Amino acid sequence: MKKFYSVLVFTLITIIISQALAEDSLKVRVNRWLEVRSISGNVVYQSSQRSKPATIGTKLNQIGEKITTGKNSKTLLALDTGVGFIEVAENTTLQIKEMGKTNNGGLLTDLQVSGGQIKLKLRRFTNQDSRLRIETPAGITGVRGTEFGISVQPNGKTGVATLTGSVVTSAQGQSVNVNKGFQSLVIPGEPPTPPVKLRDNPNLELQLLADIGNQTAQVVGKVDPVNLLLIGNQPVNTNREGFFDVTVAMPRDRQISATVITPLGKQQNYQIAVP
Amino acid sequence: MKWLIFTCIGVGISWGLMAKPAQADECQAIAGESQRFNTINENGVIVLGQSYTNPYVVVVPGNKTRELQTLRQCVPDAFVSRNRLGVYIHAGSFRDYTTAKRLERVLRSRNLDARIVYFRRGRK
Repeated sequence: MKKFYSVLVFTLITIIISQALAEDSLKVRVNRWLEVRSISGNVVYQSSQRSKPATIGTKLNQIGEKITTGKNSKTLLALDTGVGFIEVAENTTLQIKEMGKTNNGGLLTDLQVSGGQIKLKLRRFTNQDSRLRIETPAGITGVRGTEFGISVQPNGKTGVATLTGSVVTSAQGQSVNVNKGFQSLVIPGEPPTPPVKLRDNPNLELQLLADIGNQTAQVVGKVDPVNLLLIGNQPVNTNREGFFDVTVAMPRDRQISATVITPLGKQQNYQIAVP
Repeated sequence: MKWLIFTCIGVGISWGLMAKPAQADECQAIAGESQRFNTINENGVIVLGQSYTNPYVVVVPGNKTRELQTLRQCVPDAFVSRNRLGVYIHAGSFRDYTTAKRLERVLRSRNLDARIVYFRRGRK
């Protein structure tokens, strides 16, 4: 009887191990991280337990940990050792959704950007199981070694621009390759738009500018729809053509600050002088 | 009879030409001047609108889309604004009256009702 039970337990253990090994990508716990390498301005590290100013050397490696940059602030993160770098622009939140390794050494990295702009520079992945994905309110962008940027507006509209290599952007069951020198727009609830030539142009075109009383001004204009626009330090939604129409508080000197940031991080500051 | 026909054709063509709005190919650059009169680069920051140093403003009353399009062929950064007197197109703002007058003259030659007003920033 004893022998029977021993054989039964051994068999069960063998079955359990076999099932585990049968998975193509078994995730194992490994020492991986996002490390803060440089800071400018107000950058905050948050975990489920605490929130504190980030410092050089701060590491994020747990699901849910995040980095948030404030106004006029930015940070540079290193992904592991030599995998790549992520430049995080102002008013941006970056959170870890997944950071693991497969049983054959593939790197699995899923990050979420709920708003703001990041630029990534990654070495080419040599392991076929490696992946890096950026999730935004509009969709998911996947990459296997490239230099590209993402900008996310408050309404979730996401601009993707590729400088080198190629990224795949997916939403609503459709995927689009955004190759080197191209950009694409993803609007929540819609598939990605066909890629167009990369513009990387932070131009702001004014169409209407008026003092409407009570120390407020109406500003109507247009930017490239993949760009991020801030007026009076607040992110502003643009429509699919890049048009915006906002009413903002007007300072006593009648100058309203504005900033346009492309997905690749090119930034232009403006002062809108109300007549 | 032939004389009458030719006269009618001539009057008809002339009438059409007189009614024709300013065309893009008639808008030539004002010699030596940038066409962007509402954009100034100050140490890397681009100032759009009416700079506080430029009180002489060339305006075209009204907000007709056609006029704005015509004006923008000459002045790409023209924009619409409004004050207590109504809506107008802000063509350009200048430090001195003489330069403002040049733009006003150019726009008037293209059938735009341009005029110069003095806007001290904060007062209309």
